[in-house]
Amino acid sequence: MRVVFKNMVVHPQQVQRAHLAGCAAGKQGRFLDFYRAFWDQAYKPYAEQHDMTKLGEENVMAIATTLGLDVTKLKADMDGKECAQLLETDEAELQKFGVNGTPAFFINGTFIGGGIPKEAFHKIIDEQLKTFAASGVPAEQFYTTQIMGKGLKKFRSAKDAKKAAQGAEAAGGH
Amino acid sequence: MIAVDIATEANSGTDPSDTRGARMGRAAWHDAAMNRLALSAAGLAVVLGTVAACEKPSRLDPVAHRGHASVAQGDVETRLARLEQKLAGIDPEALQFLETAYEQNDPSAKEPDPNGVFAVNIEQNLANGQVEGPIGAPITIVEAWDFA
Repeated sequence: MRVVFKNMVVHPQQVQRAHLAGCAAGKQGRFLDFYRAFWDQAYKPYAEQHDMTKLGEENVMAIATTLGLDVTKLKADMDGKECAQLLETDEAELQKFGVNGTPAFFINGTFIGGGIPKEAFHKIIDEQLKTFAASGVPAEQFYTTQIMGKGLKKFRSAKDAKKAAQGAEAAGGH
Repeated sequence: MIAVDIATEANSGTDPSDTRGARMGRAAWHDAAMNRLALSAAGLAVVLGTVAACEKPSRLDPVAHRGHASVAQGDVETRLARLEQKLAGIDPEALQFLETAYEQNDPSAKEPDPNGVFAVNIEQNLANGQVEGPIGAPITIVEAWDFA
């Protein structure tokens, strides 16, 4: 199982720079290190002490320094077009599928809005594993061929799905 | 409505995948359906009441006859036929209005298809190392995340 992190900046005034730093850390091959460190050294103290400065750029740079990142490059990438574009692309892609808040998940394409119990996650993953096993497709190709290749390219609502099913049923009945 | 809600809750059991949002969506659908049923019943009651009123002379008849002479003319069957004809003309508009209002407030129009497989592009995120776990894993969880 792999988890892919997609930016959905709901609070840009507070954490836009942090998200840009996450992207910039990725360019140094250290996204996960920065991601984990930010939660631990920025968000956690902010939540405990209600100190907004913990989310700010000064602390972001302090974390980057602690991690041994190239801070000059990090700053340049944070200010560059590529990271800004990645954040925009991520958000647009998520909004295309009806995501407007966090957390939200797609488990092999199946949408989960908001947090759900761990058991529910397990259940969905088990079902997806069965689908994968039945497909006969190699694991490394599964997402590309089965989800990207055959999945829905745009949002489809529960209502539209119901209408389509009713239409198919009516067509089958005649 | 309470009965509907209780029934919905009872049917939902303890299935963890049966989210609160989905239950609320169903309850709202039931509410809307019940509202439409109630409106239809009210419309029928008005028609039946009118027919019943036509069968018995009313002290208001002279007033009604002065204002709407053509409506009050004829026997019960004629008047009923006239009413039905009139209702047939009005109902589609009223129903259309109700339908539009219902569509606008239908939560299932905003809820993703629970059986849909959505092709979320992750190429750029993979290229930038925004991934945890083996690249060739059979399960891919895409997490929409925010640092705050």
